[in-house]
Amino acid sequence: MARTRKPEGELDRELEDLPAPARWREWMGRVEAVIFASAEPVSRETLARIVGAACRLELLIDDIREELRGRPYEIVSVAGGWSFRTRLGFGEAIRAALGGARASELSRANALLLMAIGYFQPITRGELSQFLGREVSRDAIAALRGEGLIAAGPRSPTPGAPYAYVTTPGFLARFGFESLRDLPDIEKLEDAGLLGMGGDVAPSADALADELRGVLGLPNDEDEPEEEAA
Amino acid sequence: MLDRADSLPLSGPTAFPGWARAKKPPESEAEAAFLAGAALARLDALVRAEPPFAGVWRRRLALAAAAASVARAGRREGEAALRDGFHLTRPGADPGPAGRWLSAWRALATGSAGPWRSRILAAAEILQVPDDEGLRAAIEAAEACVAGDRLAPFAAARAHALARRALGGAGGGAGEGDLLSAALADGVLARKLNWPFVLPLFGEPLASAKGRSAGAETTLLLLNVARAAARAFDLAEDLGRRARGLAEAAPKLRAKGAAAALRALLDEDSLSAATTMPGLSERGARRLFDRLVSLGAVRELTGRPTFRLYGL
Repeated sequence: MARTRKPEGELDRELEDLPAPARWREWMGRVEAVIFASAEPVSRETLARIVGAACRLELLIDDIREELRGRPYEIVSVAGGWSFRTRLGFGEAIRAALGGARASELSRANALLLMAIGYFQPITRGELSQFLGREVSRDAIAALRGEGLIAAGPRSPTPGAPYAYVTTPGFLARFGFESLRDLPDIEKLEDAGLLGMGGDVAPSADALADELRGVLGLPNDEDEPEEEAA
Repeated sequence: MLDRADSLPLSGPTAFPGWARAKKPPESEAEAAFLAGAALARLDALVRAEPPFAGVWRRRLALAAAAASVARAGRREGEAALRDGFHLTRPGADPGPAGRWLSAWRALATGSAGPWRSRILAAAEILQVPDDEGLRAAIEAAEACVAGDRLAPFAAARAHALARRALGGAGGGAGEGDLLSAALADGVLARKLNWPFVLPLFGEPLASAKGRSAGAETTLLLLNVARAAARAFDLAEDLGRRARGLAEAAPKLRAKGAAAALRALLDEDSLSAATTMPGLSERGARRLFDRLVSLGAVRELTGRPTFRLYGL
């Protein structure tokens, strides 16, 4: 940072005075720094503002990933952008040192609810209650909305026109999914034709709940009190 | 505008020839190409006539294509659920995964055949497919197919294959990649045939094209195009009849704003009374639609007593 900085908006993207390898290194440095500094996944459009027009971002990021090989963190594609993430094997160590991982801040009941919305969206609170075999409270929905994990989608053409809920890009980012296709075991549900709520046959709620527990790595015994229904 | 429905090449000597309908899967690429050529020639006359019901025709085809895409993605939403979702989502709200497929197909099926590149990019954005090198390569491949000298259905089939390859790896799941490849092939076909607008014809799933040779895939694609073109023609025939019925009912309508409602019915797949139409209140629209239903000129599409939707 010793260099004197140019005024805002005049970043030299093309770097034409540099030889090609040095230019590539500078672009790699910029891209890695921006992804590192951002709390949200960084989109292609954002990164395009700091590299030359001819720069192939995929190749650039592959080179950065190559350099990060052997480090305990990596760059992953999530929710249509790129983000840093610690490698999977270190989760236990991080939890031991810092307490719970972010995902476990959700109560078990809410995590299950969230995954049910992920698989069957758009789905109303009434349908969720029916599906999970317990009353899903307005508070539980509000908690997930408050965290930016779900949003109101289409209304349902039933009495009262309740909103059906959908997951947000924030949901994808939080769980490290690039798209909804990355939801665990989604192929099984696809093959069974069970995704979405448009059909007549609802899958067995128990079977689904077991499946989701397995997916989320939750124990089957209910040692945590269920959230009270409103 | 409505009386033009009578002079369209839909029936009589210009009806769809029975011999051009595939009775069984063709044995060879030549047979498939013959069926595709015959079907497209018939459709061509209709598309060029720019029928007054072209709007509802294209949007219904988009709805059918979306339902096919959604079913292929293992989802349960059918046409009725997709239509409901479309009408009951506030502008700017996320309609959910299936609703996004419909929005993408509608974005692709409207507008002229000219600026299709921006429409593909818009559809990709709706589907949350990243605007990456794979997508750019697919669009460029399709543009090269337009510029090349292959005949229309072969150019479109080639664009389909190239786009699938380009979109297969990078970005977007297999389903979204398939949709965009089909849309690119539709665009190439429309441009090659000098059609004023794009018809979604390639949205049909490729029956187990995996593991087959490139030649077999072209045969399947051509057969799909022949079948889709025949279906599109049948739908136009049905809509042409309904448009004539609407024209006959038109003089019986006294309501203010009726003309705008009739135009909207020829343009849109379906309307709710809440759909904003100039000069027509929600109550006025409901009364007008009920009157049209009682005259047999319009159908109520949901069968529900509430949240009703009306269309040709």
